[in-house]
Amino acid sequence: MTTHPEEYPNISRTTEWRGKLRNELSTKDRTALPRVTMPELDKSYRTKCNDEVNQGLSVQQAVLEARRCLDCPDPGCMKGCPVSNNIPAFIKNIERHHFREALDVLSLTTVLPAVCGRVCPQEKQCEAGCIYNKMKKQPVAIGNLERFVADFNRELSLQGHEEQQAPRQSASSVLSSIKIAVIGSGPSGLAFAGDMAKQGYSVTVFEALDRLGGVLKYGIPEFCLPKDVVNAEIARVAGLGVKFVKNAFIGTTVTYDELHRQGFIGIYVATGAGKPRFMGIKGENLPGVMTANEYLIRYNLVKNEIYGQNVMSLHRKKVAVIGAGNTAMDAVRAARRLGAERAMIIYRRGEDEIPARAEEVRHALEEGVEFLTLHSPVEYLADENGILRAVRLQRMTLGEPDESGRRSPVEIPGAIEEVEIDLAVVCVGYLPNPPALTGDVEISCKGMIVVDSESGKSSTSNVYAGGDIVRGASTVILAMGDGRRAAKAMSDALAERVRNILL
Amino acid sequence: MNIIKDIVRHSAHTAEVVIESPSVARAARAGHFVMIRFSEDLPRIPFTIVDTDPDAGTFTIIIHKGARLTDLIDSLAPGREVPNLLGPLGQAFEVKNYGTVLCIGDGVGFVPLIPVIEALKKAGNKVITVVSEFTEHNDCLKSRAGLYSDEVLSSSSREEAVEQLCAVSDREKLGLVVMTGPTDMMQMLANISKERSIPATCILNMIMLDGVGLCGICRVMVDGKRKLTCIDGPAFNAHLVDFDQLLNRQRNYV
Repeated sequence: MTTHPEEYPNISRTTEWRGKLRNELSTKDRTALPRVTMPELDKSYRTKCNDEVNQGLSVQQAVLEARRCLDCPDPGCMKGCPVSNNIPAFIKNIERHHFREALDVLSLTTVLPAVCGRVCPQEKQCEAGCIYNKMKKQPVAIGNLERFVADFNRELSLQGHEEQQAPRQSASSVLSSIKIAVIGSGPSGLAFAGDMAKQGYSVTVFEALDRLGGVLKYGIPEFCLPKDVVNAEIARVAGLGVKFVKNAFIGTTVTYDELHRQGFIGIYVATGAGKPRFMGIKGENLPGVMTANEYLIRYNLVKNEIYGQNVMSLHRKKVAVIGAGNTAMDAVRAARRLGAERAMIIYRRGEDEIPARAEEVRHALEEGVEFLTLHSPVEYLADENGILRAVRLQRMTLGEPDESGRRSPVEIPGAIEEVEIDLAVVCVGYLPNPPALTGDVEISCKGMIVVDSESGKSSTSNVYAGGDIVRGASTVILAMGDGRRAAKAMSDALAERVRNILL
Repeated sequence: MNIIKDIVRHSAHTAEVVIESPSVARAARAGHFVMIRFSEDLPRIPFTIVDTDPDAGTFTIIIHKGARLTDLIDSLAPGREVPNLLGPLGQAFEVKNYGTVLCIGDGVGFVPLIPVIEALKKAGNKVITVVSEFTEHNDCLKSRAGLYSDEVLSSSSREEAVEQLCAVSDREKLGLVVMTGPTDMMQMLANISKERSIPATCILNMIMLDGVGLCGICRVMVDGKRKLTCIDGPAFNAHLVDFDQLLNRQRNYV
């Protein structure tokens, strides 16, 4: 790769400073450094408040951790990143204390570094590809470093030291007259909008709810992902020139035809999967059985107050959370914070099969959450007043691996037990939201939009889709990856059309 | 956008609020609702779109003091902006010529029937309306209903409303019964109409957090399938709704 001195931020590995930095410490010295531990709130304190558990690395800690990175010539970490962040380039900028440039490196590929640094399953992605794993050592804490870069620069801008503005490529006047509509302001929509705006397109994001961020706001609790952090990242996307329209339900408030009439040429559908899924067992409609969304929206957005009643105190209550994904961990940890006496995860597979982030599981255990693995609910039982009283659980054992590669749970005949509970929160996945468009966009039998997996293009020209509406319930980072790929494909297609017109 | 244009206070308990929102006014059909948060400290509440004026870009809702909104009515004033407003939501009512339609609603819960009565009348139906639990507080509802009803009956109790269903269906052939109000009343009406083989539609009134299918609070079993009132309703075939389960759920969500 050739280097240009005027290029900024410079992501080339062959720059003089990076070569010098690599030679400052030997590989032996670097690999001898232990992984820096993320400072956390004390476990007895954290369940009494909503404060973020991970406190973030200090400058010294971040630089120390950055030193561990060997700046590999063929970095395995980047292969594991769905948005292809240039991981060594940003980490080496941390090592040389160029924190602003580190952010600018990340901004080339991601609009949500502070979010991804917090909620990505790094142990399955970038950190899984780190060379340290081959040495049987803990990988470089890429997620913690990404978060540090975003947080450091945000704090700095809050103190007015530096203008917070992601780099914007010079916009051509032709592109800025092309209007692009994004439906949904969750991670996928934001990633798409950011990339398109950087190219110079005129982008408008429509959001049905009264808050921007989608699942980042209504789904993920403050103690994992503070709302201020999300707002700051959305402000950066707005700083790229993206316009946001809240309270707009595309399909009814504004129809597909109206979007066309208003001159929107390209549409990206990122409406997500938020429709609650149920197991279909007896008693799921009893008072006391909540969906993950009801529970988390109450916890995250309506501040415990609903119709004047404080229904969200769980003081002395026994709470069962069904499922063991990230949503379930959020729900069960929230229950401890709401004062629950018992907060249980009920999961039909074993501990090794738990799909949630490893850190969330560890935090949950530290906070006193009980894990009833190899238990599957078969029925919710009501008391004499018709209110939830208990759940009947079928004991399971592990059989052969299923199509997901995880060992499938098998019932142990007759091994049924009953656990008394006051609240059950069903976190067994989500279904795609109802279609936002009535055009001829092809929808699968499961309600997901059918797209070309490379480009994100739907069956209708100029309509692209990505995130959970295409994948079913998935992760923030995969949704962002879809947004970036669709932006690339759509802008290539539009640029082609523009060229043909100009020629 | 979303400016309160007019407030008509019918009584100390009831007010009609006219809100400017051209997109809602243009797109709304009978049966649709809006989610409104009147101020940051209030929850988002679903309101039936009672009337629209697409030319003026306005629509009308009716607020009752009953719904723990005592202070709200007093605090509203023309010119004020509504911070959050989302709609139109839900499925439009299936409007066609059913012949003779009997619309039965309970005092405070009567509001969702008003746009349906108008739409059915305009579609050529003969509309007979029963205003149950009639008091002077909901006189305005009765006069609203009267505009498009061929006949308006009132009853003092739920039981009387059920008797009126029987009386009217004895007297003439009904193509449809539309009902709204308390769930136990709807259950009684659903049972009677089923016995008499009269098609029946109920308009459910449920608590919702988002109105777009996320929270699942408004779930209801219809013909053994789980439906969400916000996106699949609010109108359902009353003969297929599991009212027992609904009554049980609603005790927790008033």
